[in-house]
Amino acid sequence: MDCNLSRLLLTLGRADRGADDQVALDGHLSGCAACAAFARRSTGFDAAIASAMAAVPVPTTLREKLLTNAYARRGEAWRRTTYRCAALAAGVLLAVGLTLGGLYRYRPVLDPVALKTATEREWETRESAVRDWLIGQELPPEFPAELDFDFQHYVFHGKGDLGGRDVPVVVFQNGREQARVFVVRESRLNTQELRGVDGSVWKVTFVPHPTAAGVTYVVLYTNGLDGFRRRPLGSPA
Amino acid sequence: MGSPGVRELIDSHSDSLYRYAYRLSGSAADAEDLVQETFGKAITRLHQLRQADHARQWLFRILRNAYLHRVRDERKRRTVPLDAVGDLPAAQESDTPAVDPADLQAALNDLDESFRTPLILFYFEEFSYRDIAAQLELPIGTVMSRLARGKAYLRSRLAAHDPDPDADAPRRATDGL
Repeated sequence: MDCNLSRLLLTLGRADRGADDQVALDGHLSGCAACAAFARRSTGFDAAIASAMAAVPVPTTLREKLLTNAYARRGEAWRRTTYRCAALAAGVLLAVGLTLGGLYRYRPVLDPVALKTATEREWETRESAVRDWLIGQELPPEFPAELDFDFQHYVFHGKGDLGGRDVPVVVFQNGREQARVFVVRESRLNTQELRGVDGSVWKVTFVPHPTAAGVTYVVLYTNGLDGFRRRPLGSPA
Repeated sequence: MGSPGVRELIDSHSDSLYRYAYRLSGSAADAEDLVQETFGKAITRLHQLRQADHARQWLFRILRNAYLHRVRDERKRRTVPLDAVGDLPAAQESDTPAVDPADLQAALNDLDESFRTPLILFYFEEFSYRDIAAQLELPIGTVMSRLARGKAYLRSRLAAHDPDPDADAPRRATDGL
């Protein structure tokens, strides 16, 4: 180790010198009077500055003040957090309350006239659908006047089996009573055998269409035959 | 190791932080305010301190930042410019008797913060060069350079009051500027 490196290492703190550097430095100082004198001066100066640097009287009340302030800050932070949570909860409650109040206050008002209109429109829609379907089957769109069925009891239209043939049928139901209206072309199905054959819970009626020749409505009633006539809406069934 | 509690931090570090703050600011009142501010910030950021053995560096950094924030607008302070000063030659050095703390503070007060802080950390808290570099977020070479100039300045400034008439009159760090 030469003198330049020795003095460079001496300017560093002991913590910054590696163990190997320290051994080499000690060896150099033991044989170099000039560097040893430099080291003494440098060390003495550093010690004097370090001693003066640390000579700061710390106020005896400092620790207590710091603890007091720290706990006050913690309490303040805790209170602030609590207040924020409480304010948030109150805000949420208020918003929910206002929303529910608004929903309750402005909930839709049931209008009986509108309800009646909507219901009738739905029945008309069903009747209209059946009418269109019958036209599609090349059958008269309207039932005969004797079969003035109320479409509030309508449940189905389509093809149904009658005597082994698929026959257009419209089904109505009112409670336990059911009416199956088969629309039959006499040219395709002989209905003679059905005439006059009634059971204990079922009855068959035949209604020829007044204008469409050869079209007969075979109506199979089950459990009664009075529940399907049109009545004003709201009147007892 | 988890983060320490507030009481533990205060018990372990309040004295050294106060001394550091005093040497930085040169005022007992400012030092106390800075320490209060440091612990106030530390409490709110305690979750950032992952390891207890990093607490000292962490607190010193908070305090220095608080100090820099305070003096940011006080650039009018007259300080000794050392940027152009190299190390004093070894021949100028002399054995230094006990240094008066007030004289030391006066000398520190005249230094720019960029030189003052490394000196304080080096002498007072025995930070290694690497610690100081990390603390100030500077390259270690810059820290070495600033410490060398700062030491030279202190030597010249404090040796000027050396009562030993036989000692060589040291050249002031700012002579010739």
